Amino acid sequence: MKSSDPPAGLPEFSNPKRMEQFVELYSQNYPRLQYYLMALLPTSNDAADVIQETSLVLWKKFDSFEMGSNFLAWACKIARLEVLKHHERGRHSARLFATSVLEKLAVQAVAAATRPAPPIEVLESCLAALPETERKLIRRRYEPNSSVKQIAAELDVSANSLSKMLGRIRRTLLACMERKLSQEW
Amino acid sequence: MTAKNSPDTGKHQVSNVHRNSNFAELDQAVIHELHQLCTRLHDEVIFEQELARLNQLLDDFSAARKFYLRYVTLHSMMLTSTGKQQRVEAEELSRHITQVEQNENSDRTHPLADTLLSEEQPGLLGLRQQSVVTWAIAAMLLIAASATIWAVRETDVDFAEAHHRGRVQRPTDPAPGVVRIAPAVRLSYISSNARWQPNGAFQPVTALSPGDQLNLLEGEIELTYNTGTKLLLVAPAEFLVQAAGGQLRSGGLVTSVTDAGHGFTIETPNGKVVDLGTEFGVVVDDFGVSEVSVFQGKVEAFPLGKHIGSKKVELTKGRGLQWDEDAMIPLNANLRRFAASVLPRTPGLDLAESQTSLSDEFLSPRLDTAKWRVLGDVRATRTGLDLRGRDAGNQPYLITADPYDPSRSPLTITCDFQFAKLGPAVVPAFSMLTRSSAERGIAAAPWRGTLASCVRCSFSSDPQSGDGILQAGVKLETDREMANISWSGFLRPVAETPYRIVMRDDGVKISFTVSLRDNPSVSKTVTCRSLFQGKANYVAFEGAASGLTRIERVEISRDPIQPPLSRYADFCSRLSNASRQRNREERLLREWTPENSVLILDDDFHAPQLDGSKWTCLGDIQAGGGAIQLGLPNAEAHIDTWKPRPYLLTRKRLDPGAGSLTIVGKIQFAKNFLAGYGASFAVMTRANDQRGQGPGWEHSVLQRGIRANFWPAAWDSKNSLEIHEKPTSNTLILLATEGLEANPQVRSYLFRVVDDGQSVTLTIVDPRRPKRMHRISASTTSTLRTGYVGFESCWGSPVTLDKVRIYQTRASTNSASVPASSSEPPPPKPEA
Repeated sequence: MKSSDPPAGLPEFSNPKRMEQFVELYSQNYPRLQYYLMALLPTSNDAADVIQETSLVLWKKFDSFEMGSNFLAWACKIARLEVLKHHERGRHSARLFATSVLEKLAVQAVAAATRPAPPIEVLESCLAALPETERKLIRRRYEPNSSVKQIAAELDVSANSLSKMLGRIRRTLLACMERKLSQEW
Repeated sequence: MTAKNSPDTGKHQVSNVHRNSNFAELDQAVIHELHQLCTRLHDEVIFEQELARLNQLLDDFSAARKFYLRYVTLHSMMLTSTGKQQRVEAEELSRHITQVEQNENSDRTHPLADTLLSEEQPGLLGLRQQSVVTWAIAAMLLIAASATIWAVRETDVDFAEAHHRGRVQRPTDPAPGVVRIAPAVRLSYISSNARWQPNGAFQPVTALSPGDQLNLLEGEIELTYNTGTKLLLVAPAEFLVQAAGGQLRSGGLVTSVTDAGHGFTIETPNGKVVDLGTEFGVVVDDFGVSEVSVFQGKVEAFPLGKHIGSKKVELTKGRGLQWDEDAMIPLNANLRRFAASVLPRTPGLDLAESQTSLSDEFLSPRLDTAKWRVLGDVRATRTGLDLRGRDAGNQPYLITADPYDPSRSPLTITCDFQFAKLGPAVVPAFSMLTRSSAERGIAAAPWRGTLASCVRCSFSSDPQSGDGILQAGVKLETDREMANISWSGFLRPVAETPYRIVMRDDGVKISFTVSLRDNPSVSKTVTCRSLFQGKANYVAFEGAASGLTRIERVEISRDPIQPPLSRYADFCSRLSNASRQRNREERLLREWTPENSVLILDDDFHAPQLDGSKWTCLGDIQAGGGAIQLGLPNAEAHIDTWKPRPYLLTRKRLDPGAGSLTIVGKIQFAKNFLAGYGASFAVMTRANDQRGQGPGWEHSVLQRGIRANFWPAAWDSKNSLEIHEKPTSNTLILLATEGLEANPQVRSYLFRVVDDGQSVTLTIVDPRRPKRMHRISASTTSTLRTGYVGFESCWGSPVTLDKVRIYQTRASTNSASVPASSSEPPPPKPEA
């Protein structure tokens, strides 16, 4: 990006302090906002699109945000509207969930998002306890731009059986995290 | 319907131990189904019907949504185990913004700020300037963060890999307060067999910085520069990372430079290579020789040497250059040879047998002149070929009549010999030469009389201590001395003791093994790289300058000719083929992982010694080289199935009755595995650790235990797979047999043995044909319970054992010792 040309349509903040506040709040709440969008749009590309769109809207509307109120709740509200818009645009994964399901999920997802996220160290310790081959496989699955189909082709297995293997590993991880976490998550 | 309570009612008590307390309204079957549906949804392999079912469950049950959200949490945490890093970077940027505000002037020195301000009018510093800076930074944060959310973090994935496998040396961390927008260089690929030189000062990093030192002992890694330029570094190698290139101190690399990366520079100990838009490879050998080969485009090489001065040579596609301190040799870039120099092996051809090109046991009193020529005093006798040293400068040589060019196809040369009549003035020495001239050179002493040019591996004694020394050397010109590397620490040469030397030369990489012919466990192997391209390519054998050396057997074999390589992508593809083969094996072994089990033993045998906390041995077991060798070969390649068999045994006794045991691993038989009665490999469970005593073959195995045996030589009978039970030392019951059409060309197999205390199942599969599994099962009858797990081969045909894992199924979920969990599936049904 050419850094001195602001993207069209974006406001230029006259108060750098305000900008700093936004950056701070956005970056602090970013992982939970990401989680919220992933819950509503479980396929990665859609969620990535929507979070970009959401971030720009948040930025545009930041002047209307009252400092001291709940940034995440405000951001989730806007994100949910963006998800609906995304649906309207007819992107393919829009139809993964029925509207009634989406509504219910949105409510529970905000509640879940406002709770503190489980410490990443818990996941890391559970990953460390996996056999090496399983750890490698599950990490491979979450490498950038990787898809189950692509990994399956590399490993010379069907996407279904790879997903089954991944499912087993996820079960182990969830069980491990369940044991280790005392908090609601 | 499977729910226990009405939907969307009641709150759930938090519990971290009680199974499924969070999902009380759902029964186990629904939870299991949700698991499957969620994983299929996230892996994007879900069918419409399944999606409808998921929607139904999510619509109806609050607990199902909660379960789903928990899955999302895991998914999100996996994706952003880097979230931490994301926040750290954002906070760093915020801090930077603050600094900008605090110090209007100083920020102009910051490269990022400079860039941002470069188009501003000089007089517009102040608030306007700050706002542009902060705006732009915020914009970058937003856009970059958003764009990378799901593309997050190759680096963190690799971070874990690097952390797991080894370390990258990071001499100094970036100065505090420095904002790192993007790493200059990323470690974008680490092969699964990568090993790093251990060093206490290492820190695990994958975002590399100029100054990072990479010492790779084994495997391959790929670096991606921020220009998109990629560099594949192949072990063994030492490489110092620089912002636009690096210093290759030893080893080999291939690089593909993007347009943005023009000027990419690789320095070598005696010069440098500068890219002009290309794909090229660089190798630095162990004798100070550098070589560049250009695959595409153009480079400039700047050789630097005592005698060649400072030069600049432009090289285009298909051209190469080799140089050292004294000389510079233009080359036609021989890409196959280059590949051999950087690639550790030829994937796909691992199992292809090399072809014997020349073999001689020297039993005739006349030397076969169709095969050989000689220099010096060499005489054929009925017991071998005598090489007699008369004086320095007149060493005796046996030289092949035909050339054998290792750069065309790698050579393996085996020679059995012994030193005879060692007297006080005799210094025993024996050398094997490749890429050799057939004429003596004219170098000064002590290399007077040595063949004019060659690569030479020798076994001799230290004139001072008398201890054995192994040397590898290269003689580039007739008038130049030999450049040598020496290794000590081998047994001193003894007269009238049969030795075996095996030398392998692929045109660049050389390995050299000296062993006692009749006891190969006493051996030493050294390896090095020489880029020297032979002026002639004879194979020669050099006796000592004094005393008598007797050659008893020579065999020269060649690997199949390898397909050519021409691009960076070809190298990567060749490496990925190797990786695919490894992955295939890993996948099969992984599929054999029983559910609800504990991995109680896992060993890939990477350590140079056997891990004494896991294993004990009975008989000839050798560790090292990344695998275990069960048993020894012998000179005649004779197999005796009645002699006591070697065993690798678990240190702990295991009880399959307490939880089914699943034992998996990989084996490779020796080349002679079909000779005579043939070789075998067995896994014994519930075994003791003593062999029987008596004349029958049953006494060659452990006194008691259940024995699952794979005997591929019995392919035409019904006994290729067998299950024996040995309740006492003198009793052996054959419980089951099965015929198997073993392919004589296939020596590598994966195996699995499952023992649940009542029955035993043996499964054997060739990993390249995973659908053709061979299986045999039998119920056991005896009261044998707890015992060792033993891995067995036979006398005279070693079996290489690798990737051993032993799982034990968890005790029943009611057991107090196993914590309950919401997500664990019910234990699998015992295998039939």
